[in-house]
Amino acid sequence: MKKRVFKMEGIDCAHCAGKIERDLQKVYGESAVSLSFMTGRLTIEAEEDASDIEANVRTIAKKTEPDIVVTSVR
Amino acid sequence: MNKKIRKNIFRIVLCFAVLLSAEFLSPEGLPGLLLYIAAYGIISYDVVWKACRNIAGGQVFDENFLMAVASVGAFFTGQYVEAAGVMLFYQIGETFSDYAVDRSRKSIAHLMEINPEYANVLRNGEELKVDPYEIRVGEIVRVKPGERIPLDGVIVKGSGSLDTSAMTGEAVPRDAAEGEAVISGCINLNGVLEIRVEKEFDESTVSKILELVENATNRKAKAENFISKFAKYYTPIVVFSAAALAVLPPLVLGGGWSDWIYRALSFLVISCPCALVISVPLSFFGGLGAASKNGILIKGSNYMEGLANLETAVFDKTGTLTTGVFSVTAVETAGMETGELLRLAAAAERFSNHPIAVSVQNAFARQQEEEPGRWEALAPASDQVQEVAGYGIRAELTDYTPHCVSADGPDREEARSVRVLLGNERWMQKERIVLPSFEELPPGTILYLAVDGKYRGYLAIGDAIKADTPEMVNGLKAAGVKDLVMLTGDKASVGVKVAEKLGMTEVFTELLPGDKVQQVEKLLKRPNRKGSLIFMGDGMNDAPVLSIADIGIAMGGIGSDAAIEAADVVIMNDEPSKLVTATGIAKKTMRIVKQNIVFAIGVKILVLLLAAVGLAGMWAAVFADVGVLVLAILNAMRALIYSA
Repeated sequence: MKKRVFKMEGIDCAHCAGKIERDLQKVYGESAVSLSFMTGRLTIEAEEDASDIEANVRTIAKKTEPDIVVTSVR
Repeated sequence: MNKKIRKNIFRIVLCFAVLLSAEFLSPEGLPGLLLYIAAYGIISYDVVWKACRNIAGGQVFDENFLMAVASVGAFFTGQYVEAAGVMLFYQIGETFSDYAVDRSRKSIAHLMEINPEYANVLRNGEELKVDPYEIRVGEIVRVKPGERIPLDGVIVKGSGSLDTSAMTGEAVPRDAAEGEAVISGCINLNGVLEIRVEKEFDESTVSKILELVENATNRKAKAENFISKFAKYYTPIVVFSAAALAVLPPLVLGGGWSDWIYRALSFLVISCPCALVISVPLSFFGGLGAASKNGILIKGSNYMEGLANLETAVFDKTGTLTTGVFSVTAVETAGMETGELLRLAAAAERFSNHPIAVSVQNAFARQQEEEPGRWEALAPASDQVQEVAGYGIRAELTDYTPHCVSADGPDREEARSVRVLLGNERWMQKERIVLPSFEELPPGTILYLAVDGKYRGYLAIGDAIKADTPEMVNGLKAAGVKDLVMLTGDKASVGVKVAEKLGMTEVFTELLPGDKVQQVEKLLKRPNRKGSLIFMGDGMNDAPVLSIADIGIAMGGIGSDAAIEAADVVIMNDEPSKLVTATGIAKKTMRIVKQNIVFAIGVKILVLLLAAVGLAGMWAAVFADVGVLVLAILNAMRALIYSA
């Protein structure tokens, strides 16, 4: 199980953070995903290929809040 | 204040001005309507735009949509002031919460500004400025005054004082000299240091700490998960009740649609759980920040709950409650000054480097510092000192001038030769020294001293209790912690005494390292335990125990990787009293969270009920939404400030 970390910049609504987190939890499971609204840090623990996860994160983030800039930390 | 916040404040002021002029000038007909439309447009264009965009994206129940529907609805039922007013206050609330979040983020980011931006590495005799990432183990980096130590290492040249406050919370600078290990993140205050790098940047203390702090808000507390579950159901429920409220009563009871629609629109204004969704994570974030400011790293918001609800505190004795280093803890003399006894004992131990001998030498060195010039060290030759293993030492001192042989004798006497005996009870018996009968001896190792066949006093040597351990014990008891348990590998006779002296409620002695795990497991399984169990250790060999406790707390965690990995809370210096600070911060944070949850849900439900029966209008709804939001945020921001 690999832990992936993303930085989400420009996340300024707690609601959207919750929505993005829930949407990702639907994909990877409730305990595998955590998005902190305060630090904008998203962690995902999943087996899936790194680039697939990143693509998924970008799609879901864009759908909820188009202004978010996603960068992969690890 | 960022650009977005400034822009929003401008819009709020402008909208307010237009609204006021519309109210006071109250132009008839079209000009009046246009003013209201202008006021509404200024304040709401982005919300309406986002609502449309999100509907296109398949999301209905978001706050933008709800506010747009409520205000547009109010506009079409002729409530122009309410329409613009609701939006105005909504924007005030949003702007305020942006500001609060922004401020908290900045204040914590500032706290965590420990990341070294560059390192001066010496390569082929040349100094190069490079990214700390590029430096390998074994290279030499130069740190000038005012610079941050970029990587963990050992000083190979130079000395200076280090500001460790960002790392340990300790305000007093620490002196560091050649040969000493230093950690990254500390600031060199003076002198130029050359440091041989021992760990790459990823493995260095700074990286570990940043990683830990950054991750902390991702481990969410139960309260946070409750809020996200609540928010998920609350909004749809309120929206459907609003729809029902608008449609059912007029159909059933007949009559005025507009009154019921107005009530339904008020519902929509109250439907946003923003106050909770923002203030709860904000409180935890603040609490975690307040803790790091105090040199306590908490790995997740979830541990805040456990710390606030602490019932059983289990401590490892050595290195946690005590310093873990042998030192002279008590001196008893018979017809001799304490300093003289230490002087003779230090002379006898002159050729030994056993920890006990070192502690005696250190005690004498301290005495010399306390009374400068008074205590001259005795320097017997090596053939004058004889050690009998398992018993003690015999030292022949020629040319000995005592300061004071008896309590009322002269301060200085003629030089003479004396025979000093220093050792355990068996040694005294073997040498036929008559010991007085002692009522109670202090815990630890006792060394008796005799001069020329006469007992002159003893030294008790043990593991000294840390200066602030009693403060911690009292603090925890005052905070209502029920069980204070000490675990130790010491003999029962010593361990029990120490535990009693410290005011522990329970003690388990003669434990091997593996036994500690079993003991903590037993404590965890105790019936009637409602609160959490913490285990606090110094991180050496404690990793398994740290991980089985509800909350594992490692002390002096800096530099000990295993401890940082296994623990849930890391206390960066080695003061046990920080545990009291940690529980204080946790309690305050949890109190704020609970206040906000009760207050926000309470007010919202109350206003929903009043609005349903027509007793509360749009303005009360605005208070239930924005007023509660602002108050909850102000309350949440208190979590950032903690003074013991």
